[in-house]
Amino acid sequence: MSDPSHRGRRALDAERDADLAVAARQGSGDACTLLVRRFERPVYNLIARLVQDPGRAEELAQDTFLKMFRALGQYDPSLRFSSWLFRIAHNTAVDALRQRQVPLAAPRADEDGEPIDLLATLPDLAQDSPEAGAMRRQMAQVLDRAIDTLRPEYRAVVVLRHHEELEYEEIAEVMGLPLGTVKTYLHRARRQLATHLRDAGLGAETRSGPRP
Amino acid sequence: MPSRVPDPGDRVERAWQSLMAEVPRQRPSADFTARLLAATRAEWPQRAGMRAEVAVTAGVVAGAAALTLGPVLVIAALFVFDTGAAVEAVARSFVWLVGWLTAGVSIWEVFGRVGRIVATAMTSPAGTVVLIGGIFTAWLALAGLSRVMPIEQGDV
Repeated sequence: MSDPSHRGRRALDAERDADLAVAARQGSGDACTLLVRRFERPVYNLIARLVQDPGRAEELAQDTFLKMFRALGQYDPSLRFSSWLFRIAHNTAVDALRQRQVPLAAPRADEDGEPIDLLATLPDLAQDSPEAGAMRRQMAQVLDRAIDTLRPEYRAVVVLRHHEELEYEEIAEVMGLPLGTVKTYLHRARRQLATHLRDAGLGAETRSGPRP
Repeated sequence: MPSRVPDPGDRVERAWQSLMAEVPRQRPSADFTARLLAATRAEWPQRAGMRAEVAVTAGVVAGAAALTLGPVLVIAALFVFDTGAAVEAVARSFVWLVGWLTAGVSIWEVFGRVGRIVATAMTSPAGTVVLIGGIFTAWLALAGLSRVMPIEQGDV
């Protein structure tokens, strides 16, 4: 996440997105189409993970883009467009969850539970064997199901961090939370996901014991 | 040159990022893009020039439609309804149209224009000669008429 080439690519993407947003605001239909095509899947992915209802997620994604186009005149091009759009999507999904009375209360301090070595739970990145690849795919399937068991705030943090590759500061901006809270949410979410992997008998720790 | 010791936090980040990259994303239905584009198109910002073009085009189309449909409707009315009433309605509409077209014309604006033309004519030598010639001719005509009129009145 912190290598220079990745940061450079993200900066270029952000610049291109801001240019597209400005062109769309000035009335370019092509820019509007490109914005929709570029962000429809990430926006849908975030909302679908949050509301866990594919049909409702499509409706809310559509609402998100309608709100985005209506508010495009207020967009500040010096800010990252994706963060601005994800914030609209997140708020739209959270409003829908509140209407369904899904609890969004702050997590308790005792959620930390027993300490887990997160690094030891994960597969060894250096391994590139077919067995390691099969193991990683199996773990991905477990994680896919495990994400849906997380509380909504944790799901949002995981998706924004690991699917959309947002920085911690950007996630805080999108969710309207303090930076420390975002880090806490992500840590707890990873711990719960690691527990699912361990319970499924997956991960380096369960296969060959703790790493040195 | 000392090698950088990897931060365990960075290794955790990279390990999770690598693993989560293989977790499938939620995907919308196949026709979602088309539906989304169609549903949001009405909210897309439009160019200011384009808005003016749309307004002018709509006005021209509406005017053309009115000019085309108007006579057709009048002719249809002549056949369908009472002919006398239809003719009266057409006449009234012309009166209304003339009144509407001349509503913006001010008598003072007409006087102003005439005054400006006269003033412009008088400020040039040729214009002054023509104007004085015109006035002299008119005076001669009036004088001649005043001599002729009493004789004619006496004859009557």
